[in-house]
Amino acid sequence: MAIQSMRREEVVEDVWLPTTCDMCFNRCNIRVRRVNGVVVKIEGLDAPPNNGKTCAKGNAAVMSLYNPNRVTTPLVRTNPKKGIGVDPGWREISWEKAMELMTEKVGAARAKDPRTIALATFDTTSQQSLRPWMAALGSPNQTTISAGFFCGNGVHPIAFAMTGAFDVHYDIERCNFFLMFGTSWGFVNQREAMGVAQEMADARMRGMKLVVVDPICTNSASQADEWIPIRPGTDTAFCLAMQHVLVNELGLYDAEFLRRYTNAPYLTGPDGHYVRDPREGKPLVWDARNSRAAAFDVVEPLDCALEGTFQLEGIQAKPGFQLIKEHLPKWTPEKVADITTVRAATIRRLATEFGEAASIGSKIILDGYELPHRPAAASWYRGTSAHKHGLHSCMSIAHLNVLVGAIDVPGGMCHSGGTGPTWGPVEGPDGLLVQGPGPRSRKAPHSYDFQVRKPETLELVELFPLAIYARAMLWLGVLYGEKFGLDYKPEVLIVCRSNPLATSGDPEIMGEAFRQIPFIISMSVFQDETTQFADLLLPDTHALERLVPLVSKPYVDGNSPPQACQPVTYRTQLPVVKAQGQARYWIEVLYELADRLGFRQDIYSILNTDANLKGPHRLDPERKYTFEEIFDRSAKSSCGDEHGLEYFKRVGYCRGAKYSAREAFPRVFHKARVPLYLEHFLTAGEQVRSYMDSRGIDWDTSDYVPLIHWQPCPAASQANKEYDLYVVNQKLPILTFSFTAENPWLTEIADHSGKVYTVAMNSATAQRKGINDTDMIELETPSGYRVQAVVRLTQGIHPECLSVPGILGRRVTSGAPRSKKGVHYNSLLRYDVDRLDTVSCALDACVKVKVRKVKSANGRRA
Amino acid sequence: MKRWGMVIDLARCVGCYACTVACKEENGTAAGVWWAPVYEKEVGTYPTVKRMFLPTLCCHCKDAPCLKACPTGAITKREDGIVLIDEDTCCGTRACVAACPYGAITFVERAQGEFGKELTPHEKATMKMKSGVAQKCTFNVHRIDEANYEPACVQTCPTKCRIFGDLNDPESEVSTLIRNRNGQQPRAELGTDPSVWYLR
Repeated sequence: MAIQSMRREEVVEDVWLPTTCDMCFNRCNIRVRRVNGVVVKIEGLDAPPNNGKTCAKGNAAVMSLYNPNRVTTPLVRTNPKKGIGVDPGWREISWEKAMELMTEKVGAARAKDPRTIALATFDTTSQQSLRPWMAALGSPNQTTISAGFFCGNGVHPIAFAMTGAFDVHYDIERCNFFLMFGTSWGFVNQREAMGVAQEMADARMRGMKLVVVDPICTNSASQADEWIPIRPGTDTAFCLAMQHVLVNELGLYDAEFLRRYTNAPYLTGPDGHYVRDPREGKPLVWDARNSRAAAFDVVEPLDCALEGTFQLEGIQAKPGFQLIKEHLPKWTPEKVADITTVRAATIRRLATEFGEAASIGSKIILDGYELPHRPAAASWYRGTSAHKHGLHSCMSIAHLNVLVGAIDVPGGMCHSGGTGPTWGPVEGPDGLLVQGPGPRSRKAPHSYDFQVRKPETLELVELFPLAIYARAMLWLGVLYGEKFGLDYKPEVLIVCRSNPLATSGDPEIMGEAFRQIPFIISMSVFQDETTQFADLLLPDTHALERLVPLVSKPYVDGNSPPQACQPVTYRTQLPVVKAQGQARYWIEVLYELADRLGFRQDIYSILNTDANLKGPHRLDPERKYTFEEIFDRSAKSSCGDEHGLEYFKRVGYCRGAKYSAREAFPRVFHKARVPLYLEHFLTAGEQVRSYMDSRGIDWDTSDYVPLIHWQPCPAASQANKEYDLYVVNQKLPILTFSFTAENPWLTEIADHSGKVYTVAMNSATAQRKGINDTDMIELETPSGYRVQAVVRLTQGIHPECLSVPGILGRRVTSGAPRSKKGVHYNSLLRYDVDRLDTVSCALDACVKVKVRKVKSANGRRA
Repeated sequence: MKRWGMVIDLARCVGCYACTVACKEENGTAAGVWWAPVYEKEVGTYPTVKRMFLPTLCCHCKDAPCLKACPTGAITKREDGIVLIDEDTCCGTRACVAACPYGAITFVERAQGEFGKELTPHEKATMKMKSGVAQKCTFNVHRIDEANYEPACVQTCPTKCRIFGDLNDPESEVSTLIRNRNGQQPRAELGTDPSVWYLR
């Protein structure tokens, strides 16, 4: 096809090259048209996970690639003073000098204590290549940024507990009733974005009912059958009320599932813990057929009592489910109506619809297997995770699925690539589900064998026994780690393709933490708030300029699970154009650093295992390999000798074996149980309290209880009623992270919509306050932070809320048009230990502000 | 003879703007020039509210008002129904812009790159950079003619809400959808007979 602006004779090269996109974390397969060495078009490749589709961000990648103000040479700071908006006084240096400086600083820190080196990135494509480097370096301190503050915190611990996988996926292809809390999955957001967009549209057109519970009428709420506005931070109460209706009013729950596959029948004593067999220590159940207590694994599951009170040698024992039944009446729809602002009748109706849609007892035949069919599921992500009591909130949603038996079965909430051909979930301590052994990109950090102890990691994750990580604690650990028993301080921080100063906690606090770290290396494509704090700034390649040296295995990579009964698809990221200026792929730089510091051999040894390199494809630690050679070996090991680098350069992806229905829906093929009664929360809380007491630290352990409860977020308990409106953040399909603020195509669309750089307010609320559409208003938080913005009135937001999308209001950028427009949401949030969910280490995103009109739309000052 | 047309299923559209950007990239339009914008409209009163998403583009009308309005003959219509503006003939009267009931035509006052005067390598390669002319969607006629390939906006749509095909073929996907889903032409009462149909 012609390039419209060129004459045919001008075209000396016109090729389409495959690779994967990097404009969000989903890594869709794309093909890129390169004409005379220049990228002119990007389109999707017809392979999972995106099946030929690309979103606005993917289509716009070319405008990030060719940003004229990219960082193109290594730079070293000359101004010792660090701060946002403070000119570092960059001086260009050669790559050789830069490597020498890095080698000196990282080497010295490593020689003293390798734990003093921390690395921050959210470059998920490079994760597999980074892990061996961190392991060989000897530091446990690898962190992500915003993803670890707000969203994954409430997802991954639950995914591991319920399915043994890092994440979950909902089988909407076979679902009839889908409930979403505070998320836009299927609407070009979040994980599996492209594939699920089509699945979601197909499911809705087929007749699946979609209900979205959210303070904002998001894109997903707009296309849903029902939008249920809710007061922020109250989803737990909503779900507990739904559970009460299902369990106590309708008796609509999958009793067989609870008996076989959960700890609901495990007997509990007055202290809330399991009652255990004195000899072997196994949790007991009540064998209703034989009227006796016995270990859970010797009683026929269907004979286990779910309800009742039993006398066992002087103690009164109740099955966990009995306690839940007794607990739920505290949370009837009538009692939570005022908490949530959702009418009791609505909650009761939705619970009934959910329970009935689940069709408990029904079956389906897939791929020759007869499986339970539970076509009802409830989902969540960031909206419910980012709260002081976030894990309870998310768990209350997950429990809806557990109650109707919609876990790892068609129609329900399923593992995201947790089960492969040779591994799957297994029974861990007390028969509870844990991740089985096998190649994984994400190993569950602790299952049920946690031990709170003196922290060794900068993020003090040892103090969060039920969390998957404690990213939000890391920077507070840098500031106050000693208080918690951490016996070292970071010496070197390496930040790669991430902007923590903009995407995580309050930039002022983050800045304080950054200033504590003696040497900071930043590897970046753009100048941003974080690069301003670097001592050494290195030019990173754009994703279209790099080869990621390991093939991506779909069923371990979390974000894009293989689809049931479809072949699994391997892919990678391949360079389409030469690196601009002196840019180098940051993983290449780290591997060269490892070479200089003498631990390259260790990386290779670890890679041999991690990447499952086989036979002749194994790396000889005594040799040095290019990334092309490493990739070739990785690809051939996973995909066969015919599918090495040359094949991938041509085709871009490789299909493997079919992912059977048994692998996609493994529930009935193993006996491991999931936690409905959270006995382990009690144990964890006891350990945490004991440790904190020993150090004289006041620490909120009120959520380490076995029964889900709702507590208000601190913002909700705000005494001063002047601060009357919650500010809620939302994701948009056209923006992600902080770097899309530099993409002029995307920001032009954002600007044109009128709704991205402005603050949204409910029309009736605005009228009461005498505020009109497009007035200039000022928001002020209880801590005194103020920001001004144009207000846009809307009917599509809860009357107690304002909304601000994405990561905007940037202060330092590479200068693309509109790159600094908007309001920076993260600056509104208080970032300290009081605002952390002590169970999941999420940062509370609830903030209430007071609002005043600054200037009318017609220009008159208020 | 074929009559090229497009069906847009508003029940599937999620307002993601993939089409808007794919169009821009495929056609190399100047900064501020968008041939396939998506409009949003809020409907209802709290709490019964929806935001509707309306992807728009040139409707390649059978009885095209722009063609009739153009004084220089710069606008022509092919046998297969695609309406095209010849930018070399166009002298910028903007009669077409005023005549189009769909707001589908953009007058490019001053063609510029996104980052100001200095064009990116991609902009140099793909932008025609002509100022003082009218421009609009071409149904990606170059893709159709040279490679029998659907327009970029159709190819990219994540929810497959855009379908392209032959309106003159009663068995084509577009014709079938219009029939089965009671497709509507935009502003049908004006009698322009657009080649773009919407489903609700």
